[in-house]
Amino acid sequence: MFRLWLKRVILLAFVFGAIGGLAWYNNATAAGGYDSIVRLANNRKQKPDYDRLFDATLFKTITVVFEDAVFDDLLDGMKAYFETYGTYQDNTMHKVDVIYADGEGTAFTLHEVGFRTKSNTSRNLPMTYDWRGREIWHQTSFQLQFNATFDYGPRTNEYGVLNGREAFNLDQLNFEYCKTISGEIDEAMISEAFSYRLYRDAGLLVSDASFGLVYFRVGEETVAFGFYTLIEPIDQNFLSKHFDADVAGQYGDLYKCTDTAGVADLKTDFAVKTGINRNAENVRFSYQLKNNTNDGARTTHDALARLVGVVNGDEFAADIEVVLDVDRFLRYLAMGFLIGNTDDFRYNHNNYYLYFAVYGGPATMIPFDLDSSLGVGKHQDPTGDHGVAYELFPASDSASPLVANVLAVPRFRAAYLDYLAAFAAGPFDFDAFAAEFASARALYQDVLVAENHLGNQVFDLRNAEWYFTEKTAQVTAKVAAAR
Amino acid sequence: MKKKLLVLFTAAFAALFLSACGLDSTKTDATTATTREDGTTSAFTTDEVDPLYAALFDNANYHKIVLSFSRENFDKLIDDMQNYYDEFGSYRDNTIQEVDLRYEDGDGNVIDEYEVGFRTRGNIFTRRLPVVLDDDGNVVGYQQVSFQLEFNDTFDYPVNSTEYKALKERRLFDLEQLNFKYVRADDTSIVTEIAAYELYRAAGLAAPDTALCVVYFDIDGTIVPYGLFTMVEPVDDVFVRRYFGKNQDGSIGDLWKCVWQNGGPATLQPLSRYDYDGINTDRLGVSDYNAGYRMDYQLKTNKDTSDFSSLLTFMDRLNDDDVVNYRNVLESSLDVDSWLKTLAVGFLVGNPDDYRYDANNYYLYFYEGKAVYVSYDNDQCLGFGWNPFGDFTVDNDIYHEETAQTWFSYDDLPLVANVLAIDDYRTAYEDYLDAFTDPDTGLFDYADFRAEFLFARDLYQSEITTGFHLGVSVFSLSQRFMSAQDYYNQKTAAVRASVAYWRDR
Repeated sequence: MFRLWLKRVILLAFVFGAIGGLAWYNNATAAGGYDSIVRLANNRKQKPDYDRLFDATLFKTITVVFEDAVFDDLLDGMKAYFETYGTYQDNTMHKVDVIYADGEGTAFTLHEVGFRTKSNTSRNLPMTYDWRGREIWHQTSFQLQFNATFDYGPRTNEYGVLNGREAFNLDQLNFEYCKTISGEIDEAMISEAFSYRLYRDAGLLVSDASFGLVYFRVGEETVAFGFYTLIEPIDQNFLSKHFDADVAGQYGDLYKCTDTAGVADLKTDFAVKTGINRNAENVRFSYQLKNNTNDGARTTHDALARLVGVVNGDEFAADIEVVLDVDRFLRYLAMGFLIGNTDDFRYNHNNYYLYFAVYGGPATMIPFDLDSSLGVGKHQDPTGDHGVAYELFPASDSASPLVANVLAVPRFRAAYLDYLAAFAAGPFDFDAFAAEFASARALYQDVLVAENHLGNQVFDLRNAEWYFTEKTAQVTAKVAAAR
Repeated sequence: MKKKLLVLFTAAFAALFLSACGLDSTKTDATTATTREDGTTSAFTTDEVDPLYAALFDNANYHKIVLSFSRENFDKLIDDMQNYYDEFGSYRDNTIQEVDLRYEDGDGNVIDEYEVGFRTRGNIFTRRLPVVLDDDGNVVGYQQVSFQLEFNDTFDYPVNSTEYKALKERRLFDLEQLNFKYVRADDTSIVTEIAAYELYRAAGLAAPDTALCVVYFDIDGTIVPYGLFTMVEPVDDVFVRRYFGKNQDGSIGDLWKCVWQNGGPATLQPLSRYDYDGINTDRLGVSDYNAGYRMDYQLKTNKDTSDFSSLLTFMDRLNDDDVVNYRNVLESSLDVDSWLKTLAVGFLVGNPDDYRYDANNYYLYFYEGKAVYVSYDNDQCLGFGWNPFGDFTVDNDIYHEETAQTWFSYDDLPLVANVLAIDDYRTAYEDYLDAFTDPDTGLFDYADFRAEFLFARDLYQSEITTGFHLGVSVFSLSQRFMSAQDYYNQKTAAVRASVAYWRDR
């Protein structure tokens, strides 16, 4: 009996010794010390964290922690970029820590996360000095990149850990604030996130979105940075979630389409507007290839060219379904009409992704940037009524060959009307909007006010009930007339 | 026992492993959100009144404004005004200086707004330095001057910079700017200008909202009790959107500020008239104060897009009263009803420095192609101030044709002379005068004036007098040369008699 116990003790000593030895070896051989590697890892279960992040009913905060020197570098880089190019679109990644906490008590810290500001018009210096040298803080849209590798060499342990790191089942996460446009702000606060939900309800593949409070901690100073919409990026992770890869695990081409270098209207002049951005040189394209770039060397865009050829060709009706997921496009047109974002593809040839499935499959349109929706924001309706009285088939459609040609095909036109009717009677529902609004207000308003956050603090439904009601009535009547 | 060991071993291994990996899976307390009752607000399709705008222009509400200058900026303000005087002979320099603003009101609102634009206001007679200088140029005291705050001024920040965007979009009280006029020291009834604007507004006319406030300057710690001011809503693009909305094409119309400036009185006659300096075309357009020259007709909106035809065409049509369909032409160019109403209110207000008496101090806004008259600068009226007729206008007939100055005559004022030459318009004008002076229901009621005064006295008199503020310090309805009560009573009697006279003819 004693020998048996002795064996067990020896065995335990061996096991603990082995573990200790392994830990010591890792520590001794790590570039920055043992702790610097292991603290970078994120071994949390990703799916539950993703679900929590995008659960709109769950209160959450994100604190971005900067070292003073890092924050100064961020400001200096953006200012230098502005002096050179007249815009703050410096995409240099800066190293921050990120603290996540939510209303269920979940809290954890991610170390060495990449931070950069994002967007064009909503990109701001997060802090300036006023005429008396006081710090003035400004909300800005930004991105967190969980797999940023900074200056770590490819053979370092840090690179190995960071390059494959995910958080919330994501490589990156975008943060958008409620912008003031011509003195007007979305006091309902949830409009962008709700618009994404509406597109999802309509059967589109779009980003998941939620909201939360953001804090910036710079050195010893913590700034209540306000209410933000948290938006899933359209990236490799998104593709893997929604599309099939080829046998080699590769995905098709993904283009981000904006009006950066001229409108992205899918007309035949697309080639001069297509390429791979070189941000450091402020070179940007309207059809920006986001993946399969061959390290920036790729110059051919066959799938996009094929789509443009069909869109502008003589055999549109016969071929379009080969190169485009038309059903999803019709759903996009219908729900987009209800959402009323006049800064989208249909009305402004702007703000969408095109993903071309592997093996030459059809393209899928993925709308993004929905901050001018549901009766608020930048709009082009000259009546000032946020497009509620727009026609189902407006003359402006002729400016876009894809929209005009699709809606000229009777069966597509009929499907468009069907989707309009179904969405207007279904998910496009003010009560749902009001419920989400009430939930968000209950979660955040008191904290926004008490902590004097940047940006809008008091929720208001503004014209939302009118917008939903009037838009629904208009669409219902016009669909009946069109049929 | 085996089980215990197994548990011990597993726990020890797990602890060691987690420790080695440096992971933190513990759950800590997060901020707990307070659950509130659901209470959604009602929907609306038009802009609601901003609560701060309402609080600002609530005359029953106390208002205090503290403007903080740096010594350097305050000195620069003085230097810039003096340099302008040296070059152009007046202090009308509009260079913007940075100030910090603190606003407090009786509702408990306290607002600190940094980096607000400040400039002085006033014409060649009223604009002066905010300081008193001795012969050696040393500051020996302070004096009141009217001023403007610009909440959306961008100073020298480059376009598209964060500072530029933040300031450009900034509104305070739902306004881009706010004007401050000092209450004249000899107007002991305090609320003359406020009451005048209220009469226009009570008649349903577009006119600036107003309220009183007490102002302090803080010049790097030197506190100057700067006195009692009337805050006046500016007539600008925000104003026309607020009161008129947008045109169907999303734009707003041309807004013209019409004043007696370098070129002559703003009679609305052809521009060649009263062209004192012989440069004619410089009487109408976009004024540039840096040139030291103010136009008589200054475009305030659509500065980059207007071809000025709105006002030029209006002038042509207004003056061409020989055409057989003149009335039709007039009604297609002018909001006649609101103009007749304005004539009636203006006659009751009795401001000798307005269009009717002096071809001065008004805006014309072109709303859906028709001119709408907006009165402004009413600090001398209702029996107070400039008195060119000797009786504060109380004895003037409702068709009085004498002007305040002899540079031009009644017939040189086509907007009055030509309009009141049409019988139907005369009838409507008389009807408005009759209705506005009705003893029971008329809006021209001294009780309203008195109520405004009592609010002002209760809210400000003690602070003004005990704080040794600049400017007016006596709050009295009886100490004016002509009391407001006498003015209202005499004016009412005279107008009703005059209306009766003309109706009987």
